Amino acid sequence: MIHLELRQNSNWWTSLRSITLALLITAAFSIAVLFLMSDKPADAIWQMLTFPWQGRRMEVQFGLVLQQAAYLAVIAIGLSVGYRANIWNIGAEGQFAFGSIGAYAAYLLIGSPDAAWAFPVLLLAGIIGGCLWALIPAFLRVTCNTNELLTSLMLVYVASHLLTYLCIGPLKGDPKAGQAETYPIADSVQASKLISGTELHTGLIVLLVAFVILAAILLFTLLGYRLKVAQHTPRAERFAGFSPNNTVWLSFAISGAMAGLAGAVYLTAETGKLIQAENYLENFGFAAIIIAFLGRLHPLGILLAALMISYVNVGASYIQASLQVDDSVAELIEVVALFAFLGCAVLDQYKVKFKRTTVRAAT
Amino acid sequence: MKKILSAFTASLLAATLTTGIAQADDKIKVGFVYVGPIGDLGWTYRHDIGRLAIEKEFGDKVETTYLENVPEGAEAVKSITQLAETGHDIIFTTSFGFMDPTNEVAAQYPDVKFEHATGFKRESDNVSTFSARFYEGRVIQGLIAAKTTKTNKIGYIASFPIPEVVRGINAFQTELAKHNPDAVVDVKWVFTWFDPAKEAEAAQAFIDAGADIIVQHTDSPAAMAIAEKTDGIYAFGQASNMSRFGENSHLVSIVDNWDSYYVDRVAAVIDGSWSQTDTWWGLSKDGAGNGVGMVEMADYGNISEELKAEAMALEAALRSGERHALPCPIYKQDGELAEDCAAGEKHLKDFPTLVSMDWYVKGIEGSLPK
Repeated sequence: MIHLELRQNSNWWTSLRSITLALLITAAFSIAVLFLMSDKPADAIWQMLTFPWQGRRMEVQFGLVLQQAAYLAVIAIGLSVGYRANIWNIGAEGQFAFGSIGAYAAYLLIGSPDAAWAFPVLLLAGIIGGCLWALIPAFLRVTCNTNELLTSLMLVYVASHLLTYLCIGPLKGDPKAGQAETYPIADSVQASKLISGTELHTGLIVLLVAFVILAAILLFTLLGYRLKVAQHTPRAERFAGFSPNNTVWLSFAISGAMAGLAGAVYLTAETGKLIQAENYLENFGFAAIIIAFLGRLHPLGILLAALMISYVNVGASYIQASLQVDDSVAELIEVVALFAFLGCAVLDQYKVKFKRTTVRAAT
Repeated sequence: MKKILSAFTASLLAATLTTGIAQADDKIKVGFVYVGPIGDLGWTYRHDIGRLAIEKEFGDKVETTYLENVPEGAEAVKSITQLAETGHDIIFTTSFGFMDPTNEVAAQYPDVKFEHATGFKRESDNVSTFSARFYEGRVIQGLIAAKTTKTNKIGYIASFPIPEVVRGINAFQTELAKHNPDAVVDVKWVFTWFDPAKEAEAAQAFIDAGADIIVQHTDSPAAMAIAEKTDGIYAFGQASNMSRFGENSHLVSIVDNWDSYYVDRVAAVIDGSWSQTDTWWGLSKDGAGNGVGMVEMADYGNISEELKAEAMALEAALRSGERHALPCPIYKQDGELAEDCAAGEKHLKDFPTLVSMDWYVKGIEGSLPK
């Protein structure tokens, strides 16, 4: 019989071991899936691993990976703040949408898009938009004790309908358009490309800076420590004079702000206009939940997880174009990675023991 | 296990060595980006039939690739880029939401040709656009509906309030009113192109409210299937031939036919004559009866021989250009004469009237969603 025994001292070595194991499981599964889904499995696996060097221009592929990773990492690190304290905001998708709406509203209000401060103002409006939308479930939790998991999720649908409504009605743009969309924002407030021909743009730098700032706060400040305490021992949190309600407010505000910022950057860099929800939202807000857990709610882990999943995603789209392997393979790999990582995390805190210890003594 | 492993390593090595060579052959590679699944029996299905027409026409000279279920919007940049990166020579992107992504990617790959369906942006020389005059088919449906309805109530399931859909509604209403002034069209906006459950629900709601003809501008055969369940209810198919879903209810389908356009464009790439175009074909290529266009009427059924003959005569007149789908005088919803007609035109003009149509003709009740 196998049973688990609590580890006295889990350290970086046990973590590394379980992460390696999870990676191996994911890799083995990915290979198996590609064998099933492709008639040229060896080509598929090889191209999936090395796709940046397979196409015409390597920097294009890395651009796509970094672009996706930036959005995922920024939203995920915001979410991790609450998750560390057992506060479940799963509505980042809606906060992202509201970040975009906030930025677009600011664009309409400022009237002078050529000014140097216009771009930062749009980003700030995005942060505020996402933050305010996130504070609704926080408010409901604090005042009515509603389950924030449900309310934050339901507000995603409210936000996306609102986005579509704005595009069909009050903010409707070009009448020739075959989808509901607004007029585009001026070029002066759109993020500019860092390397021509790739998806690398100034907006990604904004996201990176935001990520680093929040990571530093979580790792090195009292606030970060306080949230960590809240996770492990809610009672100690109270003894130390921290109010659980404040933790709710704070974690929703931070995660909403990060998702809102991502939404504002997305508007200024990727689309340049608001579009009806299903043609605008890319599920970054939901995918980021997986990234947060894959990264074990640790900033460094989140960054690596975002890069890994983005690499898999873009790789899947590459082999779909080159070998016609359905790109749902990326989703399969993502889900398996999540289970493998969560499962192996158990090994961090517990030792696997075999009951008949006499066997070991005999050898 | 060891055997499998060594076989695997060997093929991996072989793959490394051959990938470089594989890209160097001189086949023309044709890529497609689809918004839905090829099994949607409507929009994407018909584009895939067009892809197969290319394979049939050119055989070994071409290789085709398709990506299905590609989300519209910024995310499509990734899919379109990958087709360009993997050596495709011409890429068809077949939904409006791919317009900006197509133009963005096209600017980076001047040696690749891009063909965008239903859009109007051609920012670089290697982007062409194409679209079909589906509203020509709506005229024929208007005639049939006028002479088939007994309750004088017609339910029209509309997707999004965009010019393509509004043109269809107006063409339908104009012809309907001509033959049966008492018939009333009720338009229901479902805000989706493909959602069988929602489409079925809308069709049922119309039937419950007394409508006996269902018109749809959405992609699934769900509404047809609902009509088939009730006696005396008729429906028109959309995008593909939906007669098999409505043995006793199918009147006629407007079928999208991309085959001849796709074959023409790939032929142009092969012989090097490809250049930027903006194509808008109806029942015929040139609007004067020549060539196979992008709109096809399939399987007139469940109507009298007399009405069928009349419908086919109308189809012929529209094809030859003898008849325009929206001839003057056309009155707007508020009774005002349309600008083109007031200016003495014979019919509504393509630019800017039809391409940006955002108003109803007289007789449609309610207003466009705002």
